[in-house]
Amino acid sequence: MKGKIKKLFLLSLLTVLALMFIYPFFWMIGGTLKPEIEVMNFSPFGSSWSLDSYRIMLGKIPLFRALFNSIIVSLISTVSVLVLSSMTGYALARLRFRGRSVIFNIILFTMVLPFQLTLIPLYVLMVKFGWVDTYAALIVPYTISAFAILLFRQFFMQVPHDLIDAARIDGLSELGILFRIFWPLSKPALITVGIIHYMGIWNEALWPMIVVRKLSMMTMPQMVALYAVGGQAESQVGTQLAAATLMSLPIIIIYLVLQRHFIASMASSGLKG
Amino acid sequence: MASVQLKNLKKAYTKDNLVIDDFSLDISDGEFLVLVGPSGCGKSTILRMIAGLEDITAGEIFIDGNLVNDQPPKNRDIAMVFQNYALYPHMNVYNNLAFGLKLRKFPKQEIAKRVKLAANILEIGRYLQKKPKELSGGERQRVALGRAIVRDPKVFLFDEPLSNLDAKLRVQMRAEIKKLHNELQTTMIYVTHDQVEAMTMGDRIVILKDGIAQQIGSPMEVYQVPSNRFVGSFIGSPAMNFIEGDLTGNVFEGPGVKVELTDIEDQSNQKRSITLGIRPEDISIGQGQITAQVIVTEPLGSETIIHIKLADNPLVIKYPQLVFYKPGEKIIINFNTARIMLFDTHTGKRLK
Ligand SMILES: Nc1ncnc2c1ncn2[C@@H]1O[C@H](COP(=O)(O)OP(=O)(O)O)[C@@H](O)[C@H]1O
Ligand SMILES: [Mg+2]
Repeated sequence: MKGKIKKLFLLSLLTVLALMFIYPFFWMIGGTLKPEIEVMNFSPFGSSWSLDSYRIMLGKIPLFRALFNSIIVSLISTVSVLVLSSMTGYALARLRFRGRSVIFNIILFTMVLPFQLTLIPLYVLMVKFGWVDTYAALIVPYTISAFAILLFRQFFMQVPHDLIDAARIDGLSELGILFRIFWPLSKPALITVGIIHYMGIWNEALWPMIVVRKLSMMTMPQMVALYAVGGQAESQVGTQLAAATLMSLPIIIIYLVLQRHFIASMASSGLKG
Repeated sequence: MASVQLKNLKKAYTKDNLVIDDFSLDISDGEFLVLVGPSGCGKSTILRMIAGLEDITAGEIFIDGNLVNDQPPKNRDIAMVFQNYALYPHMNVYNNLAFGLKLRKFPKQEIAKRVKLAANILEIGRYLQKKPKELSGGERQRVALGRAIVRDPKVFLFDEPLSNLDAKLRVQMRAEIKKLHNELQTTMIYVTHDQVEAMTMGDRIVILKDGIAQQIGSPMEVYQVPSNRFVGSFIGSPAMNFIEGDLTGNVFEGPGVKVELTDIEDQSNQKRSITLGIRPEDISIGQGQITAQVIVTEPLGSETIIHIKLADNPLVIKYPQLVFYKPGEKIIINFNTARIMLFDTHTGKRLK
């Protein structure tokens, strides 16, 4: 009996907490469907439903173009991070070469530097390369990640050495070992890095604002931010929320599709948020 | 099928620290050679150098007459079986066997044929669709053997393949690997720390200590004519007994013992420090001049191991029958003088 009460209590507590987390999200979606004057009401439900906010917003900014840009940038960057960071992680974990620990320490050091510190030099570099307003500026600085390298290195160090030897005798090259032995064994690490990086770059607003000015090259967060605070929305909160909803929708869909893997990966890659 | 020559091999993982020092060996075509020695003596290092998995600091390796120093493992036409099986966890048994052949671009039918053949020899046909983690240790090691067999390599390399198996399975697999060797007649180099494995499997045995070969010979040779005290103590179970003492003429005198030795060449009558070695089965009980005290009796059924104390020196006797002595009991023992070995106390070298 006592156990049951305790269980009930915990369950209600968790429900309340879950609601607290999910409520703003529902409120946001509700706000896009309500008439504009009811947007600020506490209830997510309005007196009538319409898609007007979306229609108005889409009429003002090319959001689908931004969606396309975001997908291109995030996809290429994530694939690149998975490939390049796992290659680096493999070398650091499994190959013996001169200067390995120096390189490892430099990579560690770059993680300590806040991104804001390298912002200006990086921008100057982009201007020198003539990459302003191009995909290159949005993607190239995000093609490899120190965090991903560390995670892969950690994961790869646990693979038994005999397995590598067996693969070498069977005739695999180092890249073959990485992609045909380590990758299949590292699905949790790949999924974790993939999702974290994808979410990170999908939501990145600062860097695109610095290197992109052309409307047609903007990514979603940049365009939505510009729309919301840049005056184009003319203080219509509903349309601002509509832009934000469309921006977060793809990432939520990805998360829902992959969440089972994601949770399992978080647990088995020793990375807990 | 191939011969393997190792010429003056040296290996240093870190500067100035020779793990293998000037190791040379000729392994003939079809031979079953065992490298045996205590853990950390460099057995795996030698094997891995032959495989090409480890750089060679100095020296030369020939496989089938070809210098392979600069050849990567895949070009050496060798196959290796590891202690931890090293099966690819994400592939089923069939693909584990087929993987090396696929990489070598063998036609599909040929791969299927070879896998089937190996699976028949090792009786793993039932597991072909299973993943390694669904198999027991013994089954996994069979698969690892299969992966080596399908390649039909010039040389098989084994690095303590049975160490992770339980005692019963180990004995069984020992016989199977030996049988495999008889069927395939391929050169095999087998590394183990277990002297019983070495004695029962090897055509020839190399006893290794601190990266230096102590003796190379047939199981009988290394057992009957060990070249030094280390080999004498390492080969044979229970281990050889040693008594440190002095030799004057042909009389050995040590704590609690005085024995007259036969066929001693040295007639100088000078007193020398000598270590006497005698195997447990070469000590008899019942008659003689040596009195010893029983510490413990271990009846094994067909034979009995008796631990005794001879003037504080612990000795072991292997008695070919079932007997029982109480702890503390005094017994009369005798050394079979013809089987006594003598070692230089300082260098450990065998004198007789
Ligand atoms: N990768 C390595 N780096 C440094 N030292 C090593 C390495 N591998 C082995 N050693 C050293 O070399 C010696 C021989 O090792 P090994 O050949 O593995 O011995 P065994 O197989 O006979 O047990 C040991 O002292 C070991 O510590
Ligand atoms: Mg070893």
